[in-house]
Amino acid sequence: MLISKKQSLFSWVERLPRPLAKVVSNPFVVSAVVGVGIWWLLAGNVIEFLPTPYQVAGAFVGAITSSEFYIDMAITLRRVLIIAVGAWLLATILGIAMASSWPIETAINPLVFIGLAIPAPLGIYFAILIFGLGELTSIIALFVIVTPYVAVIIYGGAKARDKRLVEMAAVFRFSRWQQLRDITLPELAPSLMSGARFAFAMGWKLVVLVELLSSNVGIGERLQYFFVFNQPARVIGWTLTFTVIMVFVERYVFATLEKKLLAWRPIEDAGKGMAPVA
Amino acid sequence: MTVVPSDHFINIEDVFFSYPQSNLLALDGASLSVKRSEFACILGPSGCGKSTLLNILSGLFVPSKGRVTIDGDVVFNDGQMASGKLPRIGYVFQDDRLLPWRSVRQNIELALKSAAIPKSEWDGLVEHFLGLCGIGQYADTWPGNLSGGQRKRAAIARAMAIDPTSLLMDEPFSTLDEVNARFLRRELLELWQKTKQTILFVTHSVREAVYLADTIYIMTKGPGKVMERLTIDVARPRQYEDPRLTEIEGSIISSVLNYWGYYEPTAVQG
Amino acid sequence: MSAQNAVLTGPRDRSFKISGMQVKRALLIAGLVAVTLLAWQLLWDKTDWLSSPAETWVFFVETVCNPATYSNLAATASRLFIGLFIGYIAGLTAAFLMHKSKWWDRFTRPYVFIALSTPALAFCLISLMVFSLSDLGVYMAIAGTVFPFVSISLLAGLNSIDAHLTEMTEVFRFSWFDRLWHQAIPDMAPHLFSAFRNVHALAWKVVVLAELFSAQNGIGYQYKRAYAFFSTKRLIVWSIFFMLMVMIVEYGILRPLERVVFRWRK
Repeated sequence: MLISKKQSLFSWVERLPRPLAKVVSNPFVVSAVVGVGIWWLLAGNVIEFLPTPYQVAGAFVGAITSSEFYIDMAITLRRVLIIAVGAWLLATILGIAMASSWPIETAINPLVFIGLAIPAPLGIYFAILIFGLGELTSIIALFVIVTPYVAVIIYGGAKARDKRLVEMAAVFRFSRWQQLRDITLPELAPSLMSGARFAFAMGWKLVVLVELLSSNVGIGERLQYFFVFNQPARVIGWTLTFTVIMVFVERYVFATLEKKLLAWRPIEDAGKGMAPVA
Repeated sequence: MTVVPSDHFINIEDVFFSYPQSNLLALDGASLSVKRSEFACILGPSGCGKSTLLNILSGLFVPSKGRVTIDGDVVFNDGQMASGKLPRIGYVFQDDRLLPWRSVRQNIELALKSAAIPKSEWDGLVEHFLGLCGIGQYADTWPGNLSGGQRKRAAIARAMAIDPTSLLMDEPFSTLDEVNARFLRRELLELWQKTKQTILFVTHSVREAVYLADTIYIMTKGPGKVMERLTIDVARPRQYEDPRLTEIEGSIISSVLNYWGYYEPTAVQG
Repeated sequence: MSAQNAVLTGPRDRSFKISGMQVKRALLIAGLVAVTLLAWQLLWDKTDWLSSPAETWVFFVETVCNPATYSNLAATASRLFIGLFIGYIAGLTAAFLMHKSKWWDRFTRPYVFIALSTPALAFCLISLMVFSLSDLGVYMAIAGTVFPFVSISLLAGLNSIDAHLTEMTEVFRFSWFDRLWHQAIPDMAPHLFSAFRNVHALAWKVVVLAELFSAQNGIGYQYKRAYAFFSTKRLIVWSIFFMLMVMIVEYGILRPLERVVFRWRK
C-alpha cells in the first residue's frame, strides 16, 4: 500500500532546533548511541568478562601510542603484502590455465576443492610439521590456503568470457596483442580486481592466525599473549587497529583502483565479489 | 466534471492521485461509471493513468481525493479507505503474473482460498473455468511449460474463478502476437457472454476497444482525465474487420489526435 | 530402448551415456591419485615426520570403529548448528531492518560492516574470553562471524523479490502466510540456497578454529592433539572426517532439497 503514515513517535525531534534535530535523527548517530549504550549496560553486569567501551578505548589508545605496535604491525603488514601479491599472481596463472585447458582443469579442480574445504589451522599445522617454525612456514602455508579461493574467482571470470567478442575480434582481424589488451584484460578486470581484494582480506586474517599458532612475532603473537593472560580489552583494542587499516585499504586503495579500472561498468554491478573468509 | 449519471455499478467520481515521491498528478479528477454486466474499455495513450485507475479499483492505491463506489458500497471517500472488506476483484495483468513454482491449478486455488471460497467448491470451479478458457488439460502443468497464450488463459481463468464483483483487465493482450490476440479477444467476448461479469478493460489500441466494448471512456494524455464517453451500438457477435467498426475507429482517431499530442504535465498545487 | 521411451523418461537417461571426455577425465584423475600415493610413499621413506599411507589407512579404520569418534563429531556438529541458528536469527533481523527503510538501513549497516571486517579469529578469541571458554563462547563466535554474510545475502534476496508478483498477491488478497510461503520464499530460494552454502562452509571452519582454543572434544580439539603428538596421520584422518561431514550436508540435505524446490524449472 502506498499510504504513508506520519511517525508520531519521533515528532518531538521536529520541535528541536534545526541543526540539533538533524544530528538527533541521523540514523548513524542513533545507531552508534544505541550500540554503545547496550554494550555499556551489558559489560561487567550481565556479561561478567565483557570489557566496557571505555576500557577498550583505553586499550586502543594504548596500542597506537606504543612503539611495539608499529614494529609488530610492520612485520605483519610485510607478510600480508608478500602473501596477497604472491597468491594473487599464482591464482591468476592457475585460473586462466584452468579455464583454457581441460587437462589442467581436471587435474587442478580436485585440489582446489580440497583447498576450499579444509580449515585453515590444518594447513598451518601441516606446514609447521613439515618445515618447522619460521618465516618460510608461515608464507608457504598461507600461499597454499589463500591461492585456491582466489583461483576460483579468477577461473570463474575467465570461464564466463563472452565468446561473441572473440568472434567480433576475429571478424575485424584484431592482432594478438590487441585481443589481449582490448578484450581479454578488460573482460578479466572485474574478477582480477575482486581476486586481489579477496587475497588481501584473507591474507590479513590468516597471517594473524599463523602468527598466533606458531608464536611468530607480529600482531597475532601479541593477540595470543593477551588471550593467554586474559586481557579481553586489549584483544579488542588491538583487533580494532588492524580492522581500521583493513577498512582504509579496502575503502581508499581498492575502491579508487576499481573506479579507475572499471569505470565503464554500469553502476549496479560495482562492489560485487564479497565472499566469506574465515 | 461528471460525464455520466452516478447510479451505475462502478462509480468513480472526481478522483485525484499522485505517486509518492512525485509531484506530478497521475489522475486529475477522473470520473467514469460502468453498468452491471457491461463491457467497458478505458482507452488512452501510455502514461495517461489508466493502469493507476485499475490499481485504485483493486485497492492497491488510495486516491487523495474523490469517491469510488462499487455495487453501492463506498470503497474510497476523499482519501479514506472504507472500513470493512473491499469488494472482491478479479484482475488480469499485462503480464500473466502466475507463480512459476506452482501449477496452474495451485495458482487458481490460491486465489480461491484468498477469496474465502469454501474448499469443497475448488475442484469444480478450477475444472469449469479452465475448461471455459480451453486449457483444462494443463491444470497440473507449471506455467513455465505453457505458451504465452496458454498462460494468458490461465490468468483469465484465475480472475474469473473467484466470482469477482468486477473483472479488471490491464492491456492483457498487448504482449501476444496479433493472431493470438485476436483469437483470445473473440474468446473473451464469448466467455463474458456466458458469465456476464462486469469487465473494465484498459487498452491503448483503438481497434481493440471498439471491437470489445459496450462503452469506451477516452482519457487524455498526461494527468488522467476522462474526456469522452462513447457507446458502441454494433450488435454482437461482431466481426473484427466490420466496416462499421472501422468507421468508428477512424472517427475516434481523428478526434483524439487533438488531445493525445504533446501535453505539458501540470504540477500538483500546494 | 526405443526413441519414444527415451523421450518419455527424459533427461535421466543421459547420465548412463558416458562420453569420451568423461573417460579421459576419469583416467587423468585416477593417474593423479596414483602419482600422489606413490609420491607419498617415497617421501615417507625419506623423511621422519610423515606417516606412511598404510599407517594412515590403519589409523583411519581404527578411528571409524572407535565410538568416541562419533561423540567428537556430534559435539562439533551440535556447536555448529546452535551457532548457525543464532547467526541466522541475527542475520534475518538485520536483513529485514535494512530492507524496511532507508533510515533503518543506515542504522543497521554499521554493525554488519563491523562484523564483516572483524576476522573470525578475533571473534573466537574475544567471545571465548568473554564467555570464559564455555560452549556459549563457541556459539557466539560462529554467530558473530556468520551474521553479516547471512544478512547481506538475505537482503539481496529480499531486494530480488518480484514486485509484480507481490502486487498480484495483494490484488487477490492473499493471506500473509500464503504470501510468504507461496511467493516470497520461492522467489528468494536461489539466494537462500547460495547463502546457506557459503555460510555453512564458513561456519565449519570457525567451529574448528574455536575448538582449537577452548574445547575438550570435537574436530578442532583433535587437530590440536594431533599437532601436539606431531602426528600427520591424525591430521589427515580427522580432515577426512571433516570433509565427510561437510559433504553429507551438501549431498544429503542441500542437493535433494534443491531438486524438490526447483522442480518447476525446465
